[in-house]
Amino acid sequence: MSALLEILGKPPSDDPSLIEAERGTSLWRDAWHRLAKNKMAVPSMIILIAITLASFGGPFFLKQSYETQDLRLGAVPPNVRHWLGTDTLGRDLFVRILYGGQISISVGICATAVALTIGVLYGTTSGFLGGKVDALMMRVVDIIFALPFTVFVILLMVFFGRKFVLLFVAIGAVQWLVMARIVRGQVLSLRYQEFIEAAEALGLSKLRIIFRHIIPNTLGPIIVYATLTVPSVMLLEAFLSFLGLGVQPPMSSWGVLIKEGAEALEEFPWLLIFPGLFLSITLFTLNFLGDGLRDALDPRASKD
Amino acid sequence: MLRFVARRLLQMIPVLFIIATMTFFILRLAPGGPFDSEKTVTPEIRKNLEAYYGLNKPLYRQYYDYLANVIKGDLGPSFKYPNRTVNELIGESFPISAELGFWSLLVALAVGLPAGIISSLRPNTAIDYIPNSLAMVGICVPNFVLGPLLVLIFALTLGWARVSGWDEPIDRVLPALTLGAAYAAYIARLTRGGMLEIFSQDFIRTARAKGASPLRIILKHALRGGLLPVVSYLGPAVAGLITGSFVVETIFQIPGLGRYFVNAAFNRDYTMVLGAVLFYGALIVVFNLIVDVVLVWMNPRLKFE
Amino acid sequence: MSEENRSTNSGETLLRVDNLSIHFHTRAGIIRAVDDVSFSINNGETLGIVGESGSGKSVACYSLLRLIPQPPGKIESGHALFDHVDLLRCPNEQLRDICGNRITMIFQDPMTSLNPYMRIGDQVIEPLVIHRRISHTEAWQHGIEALREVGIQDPVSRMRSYPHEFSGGMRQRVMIATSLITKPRLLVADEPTTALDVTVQAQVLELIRKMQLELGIAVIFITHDIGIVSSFCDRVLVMYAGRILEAAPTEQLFYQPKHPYNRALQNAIPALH
Repeated sequence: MSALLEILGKPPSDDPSLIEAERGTSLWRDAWHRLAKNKMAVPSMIILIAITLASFGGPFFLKQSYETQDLRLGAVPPNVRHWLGTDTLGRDLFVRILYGGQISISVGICATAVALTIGVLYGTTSGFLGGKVDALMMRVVDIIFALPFTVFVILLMVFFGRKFVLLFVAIGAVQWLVMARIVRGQVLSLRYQEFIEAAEALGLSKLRIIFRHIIPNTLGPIIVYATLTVPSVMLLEAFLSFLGLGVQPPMSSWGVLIKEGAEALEEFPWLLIFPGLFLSITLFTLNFLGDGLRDALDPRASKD
Repeated sequence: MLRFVARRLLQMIPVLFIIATMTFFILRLAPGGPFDSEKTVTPEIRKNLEAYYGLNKPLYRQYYDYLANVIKGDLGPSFKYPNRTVNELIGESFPISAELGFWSLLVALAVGLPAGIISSLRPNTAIDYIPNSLAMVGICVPNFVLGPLLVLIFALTLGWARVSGWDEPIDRVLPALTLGAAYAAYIARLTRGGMLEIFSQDFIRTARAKGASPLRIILKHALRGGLLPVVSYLGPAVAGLITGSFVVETIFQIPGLGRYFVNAAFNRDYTMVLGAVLFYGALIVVFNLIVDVVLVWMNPRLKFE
Repeated sequence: MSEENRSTNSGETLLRVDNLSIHFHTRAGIIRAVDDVSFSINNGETLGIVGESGSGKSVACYSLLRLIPQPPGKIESGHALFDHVDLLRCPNEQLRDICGNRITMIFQDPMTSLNPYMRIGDQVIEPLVIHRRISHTEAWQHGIEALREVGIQDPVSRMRSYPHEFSGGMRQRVMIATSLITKPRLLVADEPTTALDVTVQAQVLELIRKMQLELGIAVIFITHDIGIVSSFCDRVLVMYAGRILEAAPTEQLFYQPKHPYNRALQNAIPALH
C-alpha cells in the first residue's frame, strides 16, 4: 500500500476533513459523547441527581422534622407552609417524601450492589470455566428462574418477619440471576478472543486474567444493567411495602407512603399522588438513563 | 415435536417438586403457627384442629403425606376455611383471575404492538420519542399507583366506573387497564427493539432493491423476525397476567387467585399457599412450553431439540 | 406497470450517470465517498467497476437505487438517467416501480441478503408479485422455472425450503434467479462471488454470464478482483477514493494501462507474471 502511495503522491482530494478523519477516541469518550447527545438521558440524569440530593440533603434545610405531628391540623392539601400538604397525622408530606426517598434510594442502591456482586462473580466464574461447570451453573440459574420468585419473596417476608436486612437478601436474591446471565454471556464472547489466549500464553494466572482483562471488558453491559436493576429493585421494595411486607414504621419509604395514600384516597388524594409521582419520576429517569447508557456503550447500535 | 413437548412436561416434574419442597419447608420452619392469630381457639380445639390437619405428626411424615396427596391431585383442605378444599378455592378464583388476565393481555397487545412498530419506523424522532415515553410511563408508574389513580379519575371524579367489584362488565375496564399498562409498555419496547434489529439487516435492503413498498416490508419481511422477542416475553408475561396481580385484585376487590394467595399468606393458610404456589409454578412451565413451541414455529432456524 | 421489458437495440445507452457525488456526514467530518463520478453503460454491455475497499464503488451503485441511508449519507449532486427517468430525483413510487423490475441487484453476502424467516419460493417470486399482476400460483410456477434455470436440483421441493438449508453457492444462485425473474434490462452485481468458495465462484460467474447472454441484459459488475474483470467485462472503470481514475475497454486497460495505480494493481497480480 505504501508503494502505491509513493507512486500516487498526494491523495486526490485536498479536503482536510478527509485526511484527518481518523483521530482515535477511546471507547469511554465515544460513549460519553453519545450519551451527551441523547435527548432523554441527559435531562434524566439531571433530575435524578436533583432528587437524590434533595432526599439526602434536603431535610437539613427544612424546618419540619418528619416526626412532627400536628393532630389539630390533620390532612391538608398543599399550601404555602406545607408545600405538598400534610398527612392524616399532620406531618408535612414533603419532608416525609424526602426521608422516604432516602430509604427507597438506599435500598435500591444497596440491593443492586448485592445482586451485582453475586451476579458478576457467578457469571464470570461460570463463563470463564466453561464446559460442564458452566452448564451446571447455568442449569441452576434456569431452575431458579423457573420458580415464581416474587411469590417466594412474599412468603419469606411474611413468615420470617419483616426485618430490614431480610429485605435486602430477598430482593437481591431475585435480581442477581439476570445479571449472572448477562455477565456470563459477555465473558463467553471474550473468553476465546485472541488477547485472552495471549495472556494465557504469557503465563498469567487465571485469577489475574479474570480481574485484569475480562471484567474490565464486561464493564459496559454491567453498568447498563446495574442502572436498569436499580429501578427494578426500587419497584420491588415499593411493592412489598405496599403489601405491608417491606419497610416498617417508623421508617418509611415511598412504597409505604403510597400505601397510606391509597388507603386515604377518597378524601386526601394528594397523599397518593405526590409519593407516586416521586417514585414514578425516579424510575422513569433511571430507565431512560439506563437506555441511554446502553445505546452509548453498545457500538453496534449506530443510529446516527 | 411431540417428543419435545413430552420431554418438557417431564422436566416440569422436578421443578414442581423443588417448588413444593421449598414452600413446604418455608412454611413449616417459619416461626409461628397457623392458628396463632385466631383468638378464639381454646387448647382443646387447637388440638383437634392440629389433629385434623395432621400437624401433630412428625415433619417428615407430614411432608410425605402432602406429596402423596399432591400426586393424586388433592391439595388438601384450606386452613382458613376448614370445610372447603384448596382445589375448590383455586377452581373458584382462578377463572376470575384468568378473565382479568385475558382482558389485560388484550389491552397490552392492542396498545403495545402498534406503538412499538410505529416508534421503530423513525427512530430518534418525535414518532419514536412519544410512544416510547408513554411506554416508559407505563412501566414506571407501578400498578399500585396507577390503579388508585385511575379510580380517582374515572370512578371518584368522573363517575364512569365503580370503585371496586367484579359484577358488571364495566368493572373489567379499570383493572384491565391497570394490569395491562405495564405489559403494554414492555411489549412496545420489545417490539421496537426487535423491529429495529430487523431493519438494520441486509435482507431488508434486498427487499427494498426489489421495489417492495414500505408497508410490504413491514408486514411481510420485518414482523416475522421482529416479533420474536415479544413472543419470548409473552410466556412468563401471560403466566403473570393470568394468575392476576396480587395488587390489582386487592385494590379493586376482585375475588381472584392472587388475592386469595396473599390473604392465605397473611393468614398462614398453609395448604392454600402451597396449592397456589404449585398451581402458579405449573402454569409458568406450561406457558413457557407453549411459547417455545410457537417460537420454533416462527423461526425456521430453530428446531425442536 | 405490468409490461414485459422490451428487448432493445444493443449499443444504445441504457444508463447514464453524470457528476454523482455522495457525501457522508459523520461526527468525524464529511466523508466524500463518491466524488464527481460519471459513467454510462449500454444495452447488453458488461461494465466492471474495480477498486479496493473504500473506493466508493459499492456506494456509487447502491445510490442509484437509493439504497444508501440518508442520513448520514446524502446525494450531493448528480443525475442518473435511465429510460428518461432520473433515478436520483424521481418520486419514490416511480423508483420502486423500476427496482426489482427493470433494474435488479444482487449483493455480496448471500447468507444475510436472504430473509431467514421466509421460504425461498416466496422470496424468488416476490419481484413478480410486486411488479406483475399475476396470481400467486402462476408466479410460483415461474419461480420453479427460475430455480431450474440457475441450476438448482429438484426445484419443486426446494421452493419450500428456507435459506439456512442451502449452501452459500446455492443461495447466490437463488439471488440470481430472483434478480432475473422479471427479465430486467440492467443487473447490478455487487461482489457476488467474494463471499463464496473459490470452486463455487467460477460456477456462479459462469451462470451470470450465461443468463446475461440469454436475456441480453446489461451487467454492472463490482469487484476488487481484477482477474474476474479481465475475463468477464467489456469495459472497466477503476475507482479510488471516490473518483474514477481510468475508464477503458478491458483489453486496453490491461495492455496499456495509463494510470500508475492500474499499473501497480496489475503488477500485484501473481498470475500475470
